[in-house]
Amino acid sequence: MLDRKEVLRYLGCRTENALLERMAVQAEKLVLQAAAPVHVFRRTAIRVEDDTTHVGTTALVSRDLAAHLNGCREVYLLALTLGPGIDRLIRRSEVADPPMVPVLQACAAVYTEFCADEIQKSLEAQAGRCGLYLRPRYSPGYGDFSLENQRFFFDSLEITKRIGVFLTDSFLMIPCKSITAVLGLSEKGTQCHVGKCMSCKLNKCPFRK
Amino acid sequence: MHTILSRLGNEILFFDGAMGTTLQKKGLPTGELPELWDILKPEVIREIHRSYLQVGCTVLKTNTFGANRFKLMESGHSVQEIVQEGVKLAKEAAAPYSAAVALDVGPTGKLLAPIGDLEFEDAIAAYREIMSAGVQAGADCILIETMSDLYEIKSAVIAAKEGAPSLPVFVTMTVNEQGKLLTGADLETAAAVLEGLRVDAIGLNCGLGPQPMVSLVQQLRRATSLPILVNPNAGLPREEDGRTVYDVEPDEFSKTMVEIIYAGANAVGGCCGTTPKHLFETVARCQALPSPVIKQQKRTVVASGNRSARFGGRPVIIGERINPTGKPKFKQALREENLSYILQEGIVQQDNGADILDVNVGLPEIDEPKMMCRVLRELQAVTELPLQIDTSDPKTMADAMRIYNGKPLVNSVTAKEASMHSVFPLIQKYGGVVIGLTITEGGIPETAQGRLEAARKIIDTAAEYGIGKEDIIIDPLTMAVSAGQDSALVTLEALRQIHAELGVCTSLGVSNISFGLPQRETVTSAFFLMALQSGLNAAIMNPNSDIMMRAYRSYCALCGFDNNCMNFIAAYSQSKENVVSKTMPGYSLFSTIEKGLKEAAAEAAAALAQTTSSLEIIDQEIIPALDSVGEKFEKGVLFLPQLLMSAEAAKAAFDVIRAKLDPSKQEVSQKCLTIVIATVKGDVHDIGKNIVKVLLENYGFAVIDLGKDVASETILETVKRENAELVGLSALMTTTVASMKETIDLLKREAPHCKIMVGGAVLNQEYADLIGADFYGKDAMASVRYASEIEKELSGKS
Repeated sequence: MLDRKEVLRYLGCRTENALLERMAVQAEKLVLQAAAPVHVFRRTAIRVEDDTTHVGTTALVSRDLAAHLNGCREVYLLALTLGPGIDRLIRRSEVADPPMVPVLQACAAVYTEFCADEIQKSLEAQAGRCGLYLRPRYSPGYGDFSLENQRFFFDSLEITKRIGVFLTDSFLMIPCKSITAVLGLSEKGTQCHVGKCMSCKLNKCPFRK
Repeated sequence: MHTILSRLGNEILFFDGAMGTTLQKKGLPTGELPELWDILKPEVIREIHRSYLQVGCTVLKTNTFGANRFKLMESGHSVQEIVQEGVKLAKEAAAPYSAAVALDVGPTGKLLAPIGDLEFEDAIAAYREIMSAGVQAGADCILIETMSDLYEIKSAVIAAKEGAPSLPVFVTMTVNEQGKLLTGADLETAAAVLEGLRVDAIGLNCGLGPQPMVSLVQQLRRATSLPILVNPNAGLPREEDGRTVYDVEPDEFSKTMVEIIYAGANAVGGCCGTTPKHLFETVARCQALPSPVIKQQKRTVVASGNRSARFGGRPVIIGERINPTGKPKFKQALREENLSYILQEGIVQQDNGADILDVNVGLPEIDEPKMMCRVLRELQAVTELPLQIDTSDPKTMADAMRIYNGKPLVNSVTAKEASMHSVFPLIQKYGGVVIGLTITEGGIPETAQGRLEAARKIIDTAAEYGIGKEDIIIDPLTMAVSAGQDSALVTLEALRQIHAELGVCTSLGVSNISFGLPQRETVTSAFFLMALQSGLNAAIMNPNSDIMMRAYRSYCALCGFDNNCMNFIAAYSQSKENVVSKTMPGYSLFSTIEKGLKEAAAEAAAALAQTTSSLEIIDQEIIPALDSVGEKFEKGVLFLPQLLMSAEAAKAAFDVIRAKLDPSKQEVSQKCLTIVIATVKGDVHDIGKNIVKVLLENYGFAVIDLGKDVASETILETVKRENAELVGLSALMTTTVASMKETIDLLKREAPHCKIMVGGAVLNQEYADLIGADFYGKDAMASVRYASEIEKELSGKS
């Protein structure tokens, strides 16, 4: 079910590798068993002004986010998680089978992205029914959209209560395989596909596509 | 008895409806704390309270849901102030109606350690502050609500008992439609833990509308002997024009509340989205209904924070392997605080079919309470199995029962007065099922009758502490048959009499029977079957023993405890004979390590050790193999999982050689470098750090792992104490690099001899230079290379 090539890419492997593929098959089974994906989203109006995106009474200051949402009057706020089972699975593997840890980690990451993509598709369809186009997802930590903005997502989506994701004092999410994102809704389709890696400034990232 | 408790169960109690969503409708801006309105707009709060009293509600919830030190931190108001004001407003409103006031306490919003960053005792302290303020202000009871983590509930209930011991405590949880808490526990597990903690009523609130709660309340009714309280939402929240709306109308809501009462609820009210209208119709429809009769369930259940194990059906296997008795390697692991070894023992037993794990870490030279708590905490992060706290030290037992996540099995109490009066108060406070050994002041009774009487004494004394016999499991003691011809028969007879006369569950440590005999498992498994046949409910045994598990699984299949023999089939359908041996004869030690074949490497090392010195094996086989793998990893030919497999294989070979070493001869040069590693303060992601640790250890370095979210002072302290020459720091996010820099600054100032290497997703060479690290490790292998360099420098000096 998971894109195995993608799993191997996370492991740094871009060629065929029978051993890693066998491990990936096993890891995928464990990850799918341990995962309990849940998500919550909300559609809300925004106003972009220079470097600031206004959502209700909150002002999110980030040049990159403002650029990303330029021309949008509404957004979806989204949060999703694979649940705490993955954290336990990885912790357990650290003790019982360390070589599996990176493979589980890679599978869980690919599965998280897969779930986010699926939700994105359904939001896209919803938007399409109102004649709107959906922009790709943008998350705290991208560009100059700082991690501190997680607080805003947690408050406005009641993430902890609804899907059991917690925010630490340093703005990290637990369970580890969780995503928060904002997706712009615009009246015009944009030609430029803002791809996951293409919009990221980490040019030297080893996982860059 | 407390007034509200005497009413609960005799009449339906009506809690009020929503506060938070009502305040939003009245203009509370998003992000502002509703509790602040107790001070800023008391007239609004008073008005809301009155509106619920006027429609017939009998219990008011105070507007203090989020009044904890974390949420109020930047509000300029203290917990004490808000709670006092909140209770005062509710009491003033309630007085003319003779209604009761429940101090409303919600979750902290933080996740408890070890997974999250809030320590259990800090959670208790935070809750205690709320409870003390609430009782001082005159609340009639405490309602801990919207809880989704049993561990946090435990901290809140302990806080209530310590901060407001006179008040009844009600707990309602938020679950999904399957009846699971966010942390995965089901209702039976939750009921077991909460009954253990001696709360006065349990139930559900928020999360769902009333309809899905009907069947959940039926489930809960079967799982608990406590009154049930249900406060549903007016349906699921939905966005409409930027506002959150709830769709279930008062008429439908109240009709479903009737069903909820028929399903077993003794008190009802509302949560998000409900209004006085919802409660008006609910009171009107339900007022005349009788409060459902509460059936005493009397189940013997233990639990972790995620799942439970019930006694009385399929016999329960308690894995005995986490115990240092007679295990030199285990003792060594305890002395060296090598938790991985202990955790592995747990995981293997779980994989082999244990239902519960016994945990015994008693060793004269270690700090047992501290070690027990550490092991429980770490074990609960890797296994969902309930645990058995096994200790004879009262302090260890008390500390362990306090921090344990769930309702533990406690091993043990005896029929001696001193033992009972030390153990039972702990069961009373923290909950637990205790194993009662039939030992009296006079020793172990020789007859079955004597053991029955000892059991009776345990049960009777427990009753004086309010502990029912469902929370007691009697162990009539297995004595070695080699030392007494009748000993097995006496034990089995005692087992039968205890079941027949006392109606209580039983367990035995079955392995004792064969003490002093050859082929012990043969006798033990036969005795085990005889005991099962005599009604044994649980055995403390070795689940890694194939012969024991074969006996057990056969018994379960034969006695109707294995549906369609599915467990038996799952365990044995693949005949062991067909499994290809993992050893690969013909491979050199070098190639087994290179290929990452752990078992084969151990065998190859053992074979080689017959003819070759340890030093030669290490220098000519193991190290070159590891180097070759390392190079291939660096060239991108091999990948991290393979690197780790080779490292594991090398470790297996090292272990074999070490076991053969004569400690009097310095055959193998010990590495002199000590490395301290940690994920810095604020960072809870430690997968990368743990991989580095495995690799460094497998290359033979002594590594002290301080874990995640570690304060810079702790790191410095450890470096000084252990005289460490190298520190490895990991950080994942930009936000925590600041705390990495702080740690580096402190170490450079206070321990300048110590080198610092850093790594983590967010770092690169420039960043590492900027924060003053000595080395940036781009991957796990790089850290090994750097450690080897430092090692070389040091050994050159010495």
